Amino acid sequence: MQSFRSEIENPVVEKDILELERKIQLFKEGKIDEERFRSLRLARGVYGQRQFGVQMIRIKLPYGKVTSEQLHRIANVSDEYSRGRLHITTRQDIQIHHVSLDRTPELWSQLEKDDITLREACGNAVRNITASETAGIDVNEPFDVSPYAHATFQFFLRNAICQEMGRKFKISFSGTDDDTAISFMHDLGFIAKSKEVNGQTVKGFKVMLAGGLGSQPRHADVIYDFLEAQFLIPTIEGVLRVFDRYGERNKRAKARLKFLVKEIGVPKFLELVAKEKQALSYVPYPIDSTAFEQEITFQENEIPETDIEDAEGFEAWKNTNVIKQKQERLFAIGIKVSLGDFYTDKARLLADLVKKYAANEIRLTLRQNILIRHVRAELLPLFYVELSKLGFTELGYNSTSDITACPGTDTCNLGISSSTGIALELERILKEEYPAYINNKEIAIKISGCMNACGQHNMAHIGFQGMSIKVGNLQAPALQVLIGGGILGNGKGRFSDKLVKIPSKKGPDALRLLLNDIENNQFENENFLEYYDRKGKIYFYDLLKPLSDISSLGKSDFIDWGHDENYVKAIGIGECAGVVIDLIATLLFESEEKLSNSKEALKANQLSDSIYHAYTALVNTAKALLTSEGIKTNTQAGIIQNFDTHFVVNNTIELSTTFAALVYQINEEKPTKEFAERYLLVATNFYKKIDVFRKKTVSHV
Amino acid sequence: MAIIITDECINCGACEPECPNTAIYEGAADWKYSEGTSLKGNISLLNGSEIAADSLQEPISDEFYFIAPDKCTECIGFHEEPQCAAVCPVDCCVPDDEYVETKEALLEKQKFLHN
Repeated sequence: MQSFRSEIENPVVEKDILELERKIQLFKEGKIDEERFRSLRLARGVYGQRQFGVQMIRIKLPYGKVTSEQLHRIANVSDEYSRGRLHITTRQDIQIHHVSLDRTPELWSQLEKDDITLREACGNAVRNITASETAGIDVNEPFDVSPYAHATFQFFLRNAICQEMGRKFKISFSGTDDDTAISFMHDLGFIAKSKEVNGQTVKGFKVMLAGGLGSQPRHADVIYDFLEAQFLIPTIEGVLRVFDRYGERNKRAKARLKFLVKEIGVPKFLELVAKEKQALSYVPYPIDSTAFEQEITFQENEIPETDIEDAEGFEAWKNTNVIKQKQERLFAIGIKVSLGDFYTDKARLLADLVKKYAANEIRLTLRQNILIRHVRAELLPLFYVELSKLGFTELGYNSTSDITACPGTDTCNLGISSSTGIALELERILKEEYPAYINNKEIAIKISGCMNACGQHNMAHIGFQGMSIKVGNLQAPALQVLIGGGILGNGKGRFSDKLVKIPSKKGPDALRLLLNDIENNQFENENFLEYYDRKGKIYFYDLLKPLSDISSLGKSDFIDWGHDENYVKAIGIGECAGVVIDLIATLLFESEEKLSNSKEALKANQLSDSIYHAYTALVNTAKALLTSEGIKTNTQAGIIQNFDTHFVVNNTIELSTTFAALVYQINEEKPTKEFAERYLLVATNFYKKIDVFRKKTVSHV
Repeated sequence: MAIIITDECINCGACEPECPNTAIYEGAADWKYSEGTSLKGNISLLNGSEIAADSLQEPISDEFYFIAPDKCTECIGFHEEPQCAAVCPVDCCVPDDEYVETKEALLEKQKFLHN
């Protein structure tokens, strides 16, 4: 283990990795609470998986951008610590599985050599920032959103205000009104817009707030039709501060931002955001985009001769998988990656090809594919031939036959029935029985193994969700069929209707019934959603209802897709949320840690960070005392209020003012050095007071 | 018959927004007769007892989502089949043997909740 320690160059990263290593050790020695450890490792990309004793590692790749060197690095790490498979997620990350916990610090340090992080890839943090994969090359975009996605990633990584939120937080950037980054289902979704102001073109965003999928989807609300780009970061910061303070923490199922906004309403929420302005570290915060505007250069300028033997195939491929860029004579190539899985041997060859003949960059896409950018027109034949050798020229990039699926019961603890198995089967049926859909970019099919919707099944035109169904004493794998979702553009979207639950083995018949019905009844010039709306939900329910019959299931109906033994329902508990720790001693110990973080940040002149750490120390200390009395501590705002009610008003704890007035100085004062010092002193004194009180109380018992 | 959520519940919350009577609550949540119904003031329940419609009621389960049987009509008057059962991913919303009611009784209950 010593070997990797000396190799990390960035001291911040080094501290992170060494801390992970130390906490793993403490956990193994039983010196650290299990739940606490889990929440720490999650915020470092280390996740549990269905198979006992090994971990899934989520590699955070902001907006899916990967260089050739990074792809080599990830491939090497996968071979060394995992099993050589790379799984592209619907949020543009790469996941590798079956990693030993002990080796995760070393794995992380390897990735950091090419500036790849695991930090805040899981857990209650700002998750990977996603963006349209065509950002920077799209003929329709007003500007490239990549620099803004990148700045957002950098600004909030390790930022004190979003390290222990009530729940995860997802942000996306769409380059055009096509909204391919699906703004309406994100906590914050941004769509690029430009506007003429005083004769100048100003960059900005339409801003969508508090959307989400999961078992209770919510459509985001528009909070700005146009927000100038320089207010992007301050706006996100304000929203995160409010979410941290008012967001539910105890009831995990109600902890996402969408529930808070649903409860208090958008106007009240924005009022709270406005109150945070004083505390923000930078208003406005201009973002420099020059690093993304460099001239596109190529390593190899010689164009080699390429013979195309399969001219028809080449044309078909150009038709379905090649996209014209806004840069003249440049093209992007889409690689349809089945289930988002590819392997290290091919990843390395792809990395070399992209380095030599393209511009050394790929983007992983939200539909679990790969997009190579900056391919010169005259090199398309070469790419066709070379990619064919890797099996990377399958037709139908982003088409109906390009089915999205989460890993489901293959590796995920939460999976209820197989998502990948049915996805492969449906892809096969489309290819063999409905070849026309290889060219159809309108209808999307998406599948999730459970209601949490990582496969985004409930916003697709046609969706399937893993379920189980009781048949007497037996359980059969099942699918819920959903229809009628989709991206409408410019921030609008539809969630699909849950139609009917059928045994999984009837999934292919459901698709056949549906596609045949469309073929027979859809009007010309009518799109899928128009057809669905014209016929109505009940029509499709009646169409599919016969498949739900379980009175005459055969043996094979009890065996899930991709399996050869009887289905067994095995569902674990989700762990992406940090779990509530109510041990009072642990809480007080954490307060000490927060105070020491505040001190360190102050020393480094990171004033906002220092102030925020002091704030969380105050809240956490109050929480410890409330917990000891069995009083509710669902939100930070609630803790502050309850502390006054139960301890200050009746003079159990004597303060010079109310606790609320003490804490909310954070909203009254600018983040100056003077205030940071004063606030830290307030937090330290409060902690001391409570510690003394607590010791007295305990000794009386 | 009312529907009951068994201990196989995985707390996913899929059923909660489907209920036309707001009879489904998250585990450990207090609930009210008045929520999602037209009940107001003092009401007499069908079993004869008097209660304030917006008084807080004790949760029926602390661990799993639960259905308040007095508010459950098995979706009669709204849908063809109980919606919670239709969307439950693990098939754990099942008829409650302790609350067997006729279709007429359920229709009457539906009228009582939404007059």
